Amino acid sequence: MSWLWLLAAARAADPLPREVLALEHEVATLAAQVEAARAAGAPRGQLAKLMSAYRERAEALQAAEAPLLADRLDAAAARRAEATRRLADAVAREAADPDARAVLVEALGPPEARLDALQRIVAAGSPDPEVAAAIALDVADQAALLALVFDHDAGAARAAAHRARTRADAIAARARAGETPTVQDLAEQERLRRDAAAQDDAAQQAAAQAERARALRDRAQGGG
Amino acid sequence: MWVLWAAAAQAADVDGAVDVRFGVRTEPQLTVEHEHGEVEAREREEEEEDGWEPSGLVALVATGRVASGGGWAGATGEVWAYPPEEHGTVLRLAPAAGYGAGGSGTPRLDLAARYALELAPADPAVDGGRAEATASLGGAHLGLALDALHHAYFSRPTWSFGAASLGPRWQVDRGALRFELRAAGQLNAGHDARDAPVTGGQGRLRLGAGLTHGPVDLRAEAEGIVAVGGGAPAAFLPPFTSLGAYDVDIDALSAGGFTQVRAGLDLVAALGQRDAVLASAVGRLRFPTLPAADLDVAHVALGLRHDLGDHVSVSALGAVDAWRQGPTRVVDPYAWVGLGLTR
Repeated sequence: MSWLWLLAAARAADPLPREVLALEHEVATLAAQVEAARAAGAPRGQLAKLMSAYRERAEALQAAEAPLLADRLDAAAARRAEATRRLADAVAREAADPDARAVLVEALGPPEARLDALQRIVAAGSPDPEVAAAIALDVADQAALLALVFDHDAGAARAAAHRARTRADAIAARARAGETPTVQDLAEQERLRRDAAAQDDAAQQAAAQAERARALRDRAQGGG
Repeated sequence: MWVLWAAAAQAADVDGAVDVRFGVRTEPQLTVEHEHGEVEAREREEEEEDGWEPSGLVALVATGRVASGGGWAGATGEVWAYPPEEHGTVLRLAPAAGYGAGGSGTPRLDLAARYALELAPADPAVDGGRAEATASLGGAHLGLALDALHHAYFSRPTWSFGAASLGPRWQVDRGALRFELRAAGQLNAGHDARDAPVTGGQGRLRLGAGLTHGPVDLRAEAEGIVAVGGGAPAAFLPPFTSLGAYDVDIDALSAGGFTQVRAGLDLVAALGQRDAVLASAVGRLRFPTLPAADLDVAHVALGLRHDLGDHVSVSALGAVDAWRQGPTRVVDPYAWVGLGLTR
């Protein structure tokens, strides 16, 4: 039985306060808004404003959750909750946090395979309304986490593409400033351009998977 | 021709740039290869006649590149002139091509080659062609690199030289930071001061680090070379290219043996949407066995670029090249402003 079943059971038995659930939703929404604004090339001022709002709510959530998590969850679950918070923070900053990602992937399994499995579970459904409700709750939780993992992957790939492009452009800029690039520089420049294109593709694929996970989450929440 | 170019542009990744530069330079003749002692004698004559003589600088540089799949090809054409000084004028045409494959968890292969034809109307002795190639194979962290170059002087075959090096590299990327360590063994072949063929060897160790964050790319590297064998080179190779940058060819001769340390720092940073700053510094200290191989070098440059639109930019660069060989000390400040078009 996965930790999410335990969490779902704990929530069903003694649900988290409504204000904490609202905060969780608010923080995830703000992280997605920051990422979307950055992907759309929003001005720095607008990004800073969104980041500030995100941070303020994320800190409020952390403060509200801390005593509840300490009371209700075991150490492993607390570690996962902390990883979730860190990954949301990484998404908002369009940074990579491979350690936090690894904690969630350890719990969920390979993200693409888990998303496929969840879709099959939802499609299969259950004639028992209680079981169907429990499944919907767990699927929604896992799909939300998968969306976060894919958002993280998309952001990390976009950041890697940006770095590769910046380095390739820097080689070109040095050449135009009078430095004759070596043939090794030319090979490096082309390698970086290929890397940037590959990371762009990876970012698009991860963003599409994130949308798929969100659609599944919404469907499960609607069904539950 | 334009139809072919347009067709290529539709099918592949195509870009190009044309830059025109105007400026002043103080010692352009020092960028030309020559017999040992020749420039020093010329310098003394000039000092006796007129003293220090700066010259103008006019340059036209055009580059084009096309890439499709893993393959790419490009060419650079350059004309550098220093009116009214005749020496130092150079025409250069350098086609290049390469291929790359792999990456993202699979072994990576990168191949590239370039041939540069260089003609100097006022100094036909330095007319020549320079061929170079590189191949690297490896994974994300470990790899192997093979590099080779040959510079042939058409009318002075004994000035010609070549080098080939092979060695492993280790690199690690940690987000914005990257580190690289390279080791290589190199074989050099050329002619000594008596025009006799000589060969030499080098052991090289290079440590590099880089930071790419937002619009900033900073890289630093230090390289140590221990050279053995070879002999005093048949010609004096200038430490800077006709463009004023450090010329790596001067490290491609063992020159009778030496120990050398070279360190460099490069910065390219965008300032806002339309401006960029470039800065670079190189320093080299050499501890030679033969006096002819003694050559310490320093170079600093600061450049600015302002984009007037998506395809037009203006730029300016100020730089100082300096070197010392025995009692001879040369300082060559230069500066230029330029207009560039990109596609």
